[in-house]
Amino acid sequence: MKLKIIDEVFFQNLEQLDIYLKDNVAGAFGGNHRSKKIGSSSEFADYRKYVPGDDIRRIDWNVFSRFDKLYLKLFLDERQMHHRIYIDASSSMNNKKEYALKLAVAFSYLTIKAMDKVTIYLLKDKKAIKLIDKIVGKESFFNAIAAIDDVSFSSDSHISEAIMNSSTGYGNGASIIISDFLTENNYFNAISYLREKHRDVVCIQLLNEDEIHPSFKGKSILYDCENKNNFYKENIKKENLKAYELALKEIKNNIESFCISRNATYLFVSTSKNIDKVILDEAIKKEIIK
Amino acid sequence: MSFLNPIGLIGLVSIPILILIYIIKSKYQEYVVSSTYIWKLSEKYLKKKRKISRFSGLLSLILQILIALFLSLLLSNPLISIANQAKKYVFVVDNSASMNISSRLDDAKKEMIDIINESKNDSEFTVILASNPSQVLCDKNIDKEKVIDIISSIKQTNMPYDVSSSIEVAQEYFNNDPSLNVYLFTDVSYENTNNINVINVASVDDYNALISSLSFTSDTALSFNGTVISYNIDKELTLDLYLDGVYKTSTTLLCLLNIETSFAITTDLCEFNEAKVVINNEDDMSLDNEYIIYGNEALDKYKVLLVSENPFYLKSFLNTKDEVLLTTTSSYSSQEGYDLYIFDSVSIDTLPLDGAIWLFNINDNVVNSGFISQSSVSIDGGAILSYSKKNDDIYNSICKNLLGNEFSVNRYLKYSLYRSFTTIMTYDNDPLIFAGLNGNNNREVVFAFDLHDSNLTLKLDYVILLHNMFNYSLPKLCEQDSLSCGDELTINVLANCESIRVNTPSNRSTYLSINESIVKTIVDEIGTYEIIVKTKNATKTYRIYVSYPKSEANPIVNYESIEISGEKLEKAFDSTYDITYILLIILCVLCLLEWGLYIYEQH
Repeated sequence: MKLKIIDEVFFQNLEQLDIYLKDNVAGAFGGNHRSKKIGSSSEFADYRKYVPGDDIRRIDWNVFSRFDKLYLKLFLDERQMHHRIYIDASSSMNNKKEYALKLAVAFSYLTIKAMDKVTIYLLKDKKAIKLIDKIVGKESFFNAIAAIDDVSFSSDSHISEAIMNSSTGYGNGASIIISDFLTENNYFNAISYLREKHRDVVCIQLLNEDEIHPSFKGKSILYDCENKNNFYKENIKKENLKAYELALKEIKNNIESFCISRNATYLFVSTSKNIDKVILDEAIKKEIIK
Repeated sequence: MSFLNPIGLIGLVSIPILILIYIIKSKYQEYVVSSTYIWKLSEKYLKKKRKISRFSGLLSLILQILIALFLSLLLSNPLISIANQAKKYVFVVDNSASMNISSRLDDAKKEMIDIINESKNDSEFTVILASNPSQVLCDKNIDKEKVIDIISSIKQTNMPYDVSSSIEVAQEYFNNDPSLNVYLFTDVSYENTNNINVINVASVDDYNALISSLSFTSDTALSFNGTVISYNIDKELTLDLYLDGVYKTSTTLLCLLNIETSFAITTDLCEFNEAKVVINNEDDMSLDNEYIIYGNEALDKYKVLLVSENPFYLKSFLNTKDEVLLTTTSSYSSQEGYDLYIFDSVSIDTLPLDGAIWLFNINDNVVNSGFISQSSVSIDGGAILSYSKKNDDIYNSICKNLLGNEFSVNRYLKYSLYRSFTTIMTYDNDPLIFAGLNGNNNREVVFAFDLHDSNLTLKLDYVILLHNMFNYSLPKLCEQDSLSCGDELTINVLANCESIRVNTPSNRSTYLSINESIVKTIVDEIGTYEIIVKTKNATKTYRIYVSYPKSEANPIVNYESIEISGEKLEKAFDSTYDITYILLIILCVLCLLEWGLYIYEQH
């Protein structure tokens, strides 16, 4: 498999990291339960290295005899997590497409690495289109992930309508929304909806450097890429740029405070930052990854 | 509006360039952004735009255009012309002696300067100094500063008031341009004026006292007699007498206003060189408060040589003169050292060089005599001589006080004159008595007849005539005992005179010409003049006091009328103003506004 957006080095880096997507399963008991990824079902899922404390009955002695290394056989658990990743595929995300997809793939990989299921959705217009559906295991993952190369970002952004009209799952994983959230359309409803479904909600606001610190100056007409009828005409000066920063801060604060109020997680990411750093540093700080 | 430097207007080319730049900059750049959501949201964080912000670009363009416009105008040095503002002026300035009283000349200058400063640009000024002859100090000058400098430099004189020639000059100007405004700045008032504005700077409070005359007699005592006048008020005056700088005595007298009052001061008999009488009271003109007279030198003795075979008539006259040391001889053998040589019907070859000459009935053609004897003329019954009435100095001095007695001659010599003599008497156009300078530059009086051939000696005029001839031939250095400023000093050129130098009271020295028998010079300073005459035999010094002109002593003078004839034309002319400073101020204000707008936009 040869990917244009993501290369093998990326996956190698992820593989070396001993990190997993954190999950807090609500379950019937509520609160935080650490889900067992490997259960007692008979369906073979995968091998994993033996760590002290594991049930020795699960050691695959055939593998040991062959490789002189202790590995456990894993079987699928009925309470396996199903993480859903929603990528805002509107026109405004076009200049952050690659980064958004990389982020989504990174989280996806961490998911399947933990033997959980993952589905990646593209939010286009008012629909959540499945890009990859309930993938488990690396082999399936790598087979499905090639589809990301053909993804196109266009149209308007209707996050709430798209998510709420799709199958969101219930209490069995995280719902990660990757978007720039630069829309007048309501997205808070989606967060509330997902939380009602006992999903762990992570909102990742993704912006590039021009969107964070625009460099326009003088008489300018700025056309909205999603709707050319929306434009902003102004003689942009220092004061306008200052006001922009304040407006952006307001948006970020709004999302963050809403997320806090709904027990969701908010992460602000600039595309100028290395993804590795985002995952190792900020995602861990925000306890998205453990 | 006109421009002194039109090339500066090239700067106006920048205006369309500014407009073009503005149009280009006005265009909006178009961009596609991911979302305008934040931009629109940001509007609430913008401060409410003042109206000025909306139009700041246009305002800046307008200011820049105005700056370019005013800068171009400034560089082109424009002049604004305003019609009917400027006028033309003629100032006649009296700087006579009376303008010394108080600060009249300064007051007159101030009046002139005020008129100049109040006049509009391009007004013309002509300044004429009232003197005789008049003097045009500046002619149709529009440079106010220069005219003011010229006026400020006008100096006081001690001369009497005489505006006649300067008014004539002003009249000529007026004839050429009847729109002229003629002013006379003086301390004299006129009852009637026409076309002339008289600015009288005299004050009715001014007071002056003057010593108008002084003489002395010496008998048993020295007695100084003179007259004094107190102008405008009755005043008790104290007069001090100084002899050779030493105070002697005083006298006090009451002088009624404007009446010449006599005084006498007596002191002990003594010799003196200089006597001075001083008014010991304060007034507004101090220059006329003293009067000086000088003691006469002892009468000169004159050596006279009379060469005649029959000297009776002449000898009789000469013996009556105390100052004559007479020598009589019948023939001339080149004697010298005499002040006067008289040749009466004798034969001579050459004239002596060192004295005056009288020739009677000389038939010889004597070198340098100035005449040639042509023939002898006899007239039966006698010829009555006629006066030539030449009316020159020589004629006047020789014919002074003559009664006009007729006398006749029986016989005379017909002379042809080849020098410029003054003919005193003639017969039938023949010069019978004439006088002047001979070829040796000595004074010469010639009778073309023998006294014995006429009845002149029987007339009273004979004595008077000879007396006048004596005074002419052997004159006093200076006939005048006293002068006032502006008078003409008359000096007789003595025989053998080598030089005549005049020293003024301010120690200015002038050498006078000795080519004529009489020389004259105008005295223009108050004080003692020294006349130093150098002759072959001696150097003589004569001192004469020049007093303040009496006509200028009265501080308040009224005359009847003064006029510039003709019809005055009321007319004003265009006045131009240099607006460079105004443009510069406006330009600075515009630049400040533009800078302020820039700072506001940046802020």
